[in-house]
Amino acid sequence: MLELLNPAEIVSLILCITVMIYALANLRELTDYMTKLLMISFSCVFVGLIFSIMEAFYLPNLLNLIEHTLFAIAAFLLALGCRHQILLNTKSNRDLK
Amino acid sequence: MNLVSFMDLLAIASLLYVLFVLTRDLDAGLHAFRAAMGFLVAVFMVYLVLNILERTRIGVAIDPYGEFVEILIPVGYLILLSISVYAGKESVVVARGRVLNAINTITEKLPVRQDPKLLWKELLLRVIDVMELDGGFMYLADDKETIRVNHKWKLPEDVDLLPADLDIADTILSRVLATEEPLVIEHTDSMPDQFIQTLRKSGITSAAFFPLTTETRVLGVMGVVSRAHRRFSDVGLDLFRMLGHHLGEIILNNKLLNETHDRTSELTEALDTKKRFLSMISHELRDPLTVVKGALFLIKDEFSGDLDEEFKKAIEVAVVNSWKLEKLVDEILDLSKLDAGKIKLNFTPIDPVKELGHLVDETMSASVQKGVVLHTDIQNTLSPIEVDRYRFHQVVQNLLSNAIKYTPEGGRVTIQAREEDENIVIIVTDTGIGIGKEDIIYIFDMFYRTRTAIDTIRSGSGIGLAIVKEIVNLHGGDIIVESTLGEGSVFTVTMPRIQLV
Repeated sequence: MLELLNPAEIVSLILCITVMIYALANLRELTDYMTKLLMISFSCVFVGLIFSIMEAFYLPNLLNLIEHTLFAIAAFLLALGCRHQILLNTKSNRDLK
Repeated sequence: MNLVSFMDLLAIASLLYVLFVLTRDLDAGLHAFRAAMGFLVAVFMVYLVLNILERTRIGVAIDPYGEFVEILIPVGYLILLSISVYAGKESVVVARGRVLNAINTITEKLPVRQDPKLLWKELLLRVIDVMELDGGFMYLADDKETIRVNHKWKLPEDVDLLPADLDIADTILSRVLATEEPLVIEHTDSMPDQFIQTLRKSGITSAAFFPLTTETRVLGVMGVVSRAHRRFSDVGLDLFRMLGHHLGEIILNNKLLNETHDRTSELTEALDTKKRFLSMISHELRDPLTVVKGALFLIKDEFSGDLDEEFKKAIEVAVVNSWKLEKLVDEILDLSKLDAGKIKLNFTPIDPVKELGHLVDETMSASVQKGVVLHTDIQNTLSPIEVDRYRFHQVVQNLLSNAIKYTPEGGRVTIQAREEDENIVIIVTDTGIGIGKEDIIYIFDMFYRTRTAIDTIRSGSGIGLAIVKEIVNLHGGDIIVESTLGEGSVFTVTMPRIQLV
């Protein structure tokens, strides 16, 4: 069964757990909108990665689809965050003027 | 194209938008954050592209690269989150700076003392201006008194933010008062509270209420409102909390300052009335007293032969007491004049040795009568001094008579005089009852008598030393006292020999 596991995915999973622990430890600092979206985006990638590992054992097609959907959501959230940041910066620049 | 590839393409489209934003909006955000975001997006995109390619014929060949890139994605997120944590910490410092700046702008250059309502208006106006809001109100609840101040400069005239008939206990404001915590409402339509709904009907979209606190209690609550939607959380509850405390302290200090000022005015007025009364009563008493004294002397001198012994004794007592009364009235008059600055000193050069000798001779009979030894230690030659002769006598007589009065039989009173630089120093020492440490700072105050003095000798007005000090000060001199309770006192008078006009 272990031979079905991809070493790169295991390394990625360990890295993701590390990042998640770091993020949870500093949750008080991650307060603004952009950072919140970043955190959700990362969570999507994290869960997608778990599904990516699980797809080797169960429902490969469905879990693969969910994995890639979560990646798409993660990317969309990054885009949303950047857009929000632009609007915020534009407003700040206008206020400064 | 299957659904998985479609999702990947959607993700790639989103990431391309991010790249587009990062390249277009060059001025925005932290450079490090932008670089990290660029890295993450690039890695993510490569990973997705490789994934799409993986599903084609060449997929097998590039698979190891895909695995390597997959590992880089969490690394990209780690870098981004680390930068965000750092930026978050920095933004806390910046936000705190903004809060302090705002508080400083609101509280700077406030008048030290002013009418409370004007001060409240001023504070409210400044808060509204600094926060760029449309209006506000302040509700101050004292123990029994309720004060309502309604401000609506930037709102239409018909908007009443805090109607006078509104019972605060029924509104959300009572919660702010009870919890002593600010309350921020970004959308008034989201709150069912009747008071908030009244605000909403007046066109208010956002509102913030914060308590005006001091170290010990809550003075009231301030409310600020905006017609446009305001995200008060941007400012932070910290601002409202700190601002409420600052304003509370300012309001309380102003109240205390006003109370102190009013009390001082009342006391000053009472003191003036007392002085006027004393001055008036002394004048009014002096004339009839002169007549009484004259009549008594007439009886004593002209008709004493016709009177029996008991009557003569009564007349003698009346004469002695009229002297005492006259002395008291004179002292009160003197004090009133000194206090009002109406006494003009007539400086003349005198020989201190001669004058002090006379004064000692005059007092000698009283000391002999009391059984107190009066000792003199005056330098044989002292330079002439410029003083008001009458007032100089008054000072020395007062100190000597006090010393004899409060020294028990068998005690000793010494008067010393010497020159020191340009001054003459007169020291009166006694072995009397002394003055306690708690009394010594008040000993020159008008009407002050120590408990020991009252217990020892009931008579006495507590005016003599006050007059002595005033006279010595008028001569440009100084008087100090050193004393030990039960052992005696030393009064030291220092006066300049020559008066500089």
